[in-house]
Amino acid sequence: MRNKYTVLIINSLLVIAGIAFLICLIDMIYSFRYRFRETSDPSEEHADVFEYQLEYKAYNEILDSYHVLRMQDLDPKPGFENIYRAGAYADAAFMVPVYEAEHSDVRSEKNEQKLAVIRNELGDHIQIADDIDKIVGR
Amino acid sequence: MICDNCRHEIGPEDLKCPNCGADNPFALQHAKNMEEYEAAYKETEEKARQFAGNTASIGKRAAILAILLIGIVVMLIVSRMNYADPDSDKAVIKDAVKNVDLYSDMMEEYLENGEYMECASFIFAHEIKSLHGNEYARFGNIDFVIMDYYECIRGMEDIVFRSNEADYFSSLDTDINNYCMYLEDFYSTYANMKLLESNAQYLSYMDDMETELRTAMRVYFSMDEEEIDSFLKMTRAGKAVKIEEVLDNEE
Repeated sequence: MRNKYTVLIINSLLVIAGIAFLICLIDMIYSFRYRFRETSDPSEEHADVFEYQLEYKAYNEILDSYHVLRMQDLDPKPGFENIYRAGAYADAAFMVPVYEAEHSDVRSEKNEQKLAVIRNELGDHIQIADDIDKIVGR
Repeated sequence: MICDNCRHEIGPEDLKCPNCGADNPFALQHAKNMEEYEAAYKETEEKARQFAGNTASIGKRAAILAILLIGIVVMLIVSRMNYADPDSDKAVIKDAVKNVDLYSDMMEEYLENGEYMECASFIFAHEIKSLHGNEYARFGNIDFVIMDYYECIRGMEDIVFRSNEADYFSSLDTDINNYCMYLEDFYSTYANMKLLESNAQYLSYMDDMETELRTAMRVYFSMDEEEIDSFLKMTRAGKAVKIEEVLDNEE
């Protein structure tokens, strides 16, 4: 009698474990599909948005993207270089009149050096630097 | 033994007397008992075999159950690893803990150079804000001020670098409101952290950030020191109206 109950309990456990095993197996197969899924290249998407924002001179939006991206990575991932350059230029240019008003010569000089480096890196997008300089009255 | 009938000697296992053929009651009883014992023995043996068989069957089931459970655990681990984000915050925090000396020095350098925006980005990128209570405890107070300074500058940048194209979506009202909110947050944090901070150098950095924000207001919103003081005393709505007035006058 005791054996009969033991067998019944074990059989019930076997059924439950069997169902759980199948569920886990399906979940594991899906997890591999998730891991090796094809993902769209985020840099392409950002590049399109960047060009659109440039067209409308929405440098505030470019700066926002720059700051948000930098929260994850201080250095640009491949494909994000333009956003980082434009954002870094705008960010540094914003401080130019502030340092000048404060007569912070050391900071001002360092900032100017940074701007010169980024300006050289802007290449075809040199217009960004000119637009930003105009906005901050540089 | 002696036969009760003819008194002839008989063996204890002889069922009948070899002399007169009379029954040997002792041997008969013994044979009967033996039959009963044999039957009982067979029955017990059968039960024992059946029990052993059942036990073996339970053992097999238990083994299968154990294999299933191990399989479930392994599959759960594999699934979890597959779904896990390889660049999770955990790895970044681990890196920040590992490089505490190097990152602390870099933060000190940013602060010394007045590169507060860089410092804020650095804090975000390395998840240092989640380690204030431990490895980066000494930055615990100034980090809050840096964060609010960062938000204020970002708010101002949003206003200053807005698009003036007529057919582009304008978020200027929201940007102005956000900036006013960040400014209030900054001054509240600045006042509180100045009371908590004991490091004189960090106190000077906090003052420097406050001065920079005032200078930025002076430069970009064309306010003098007196106007800034009265601007800061305004309600959030009042501040927003004031900035809108300044921007309207610029145009």
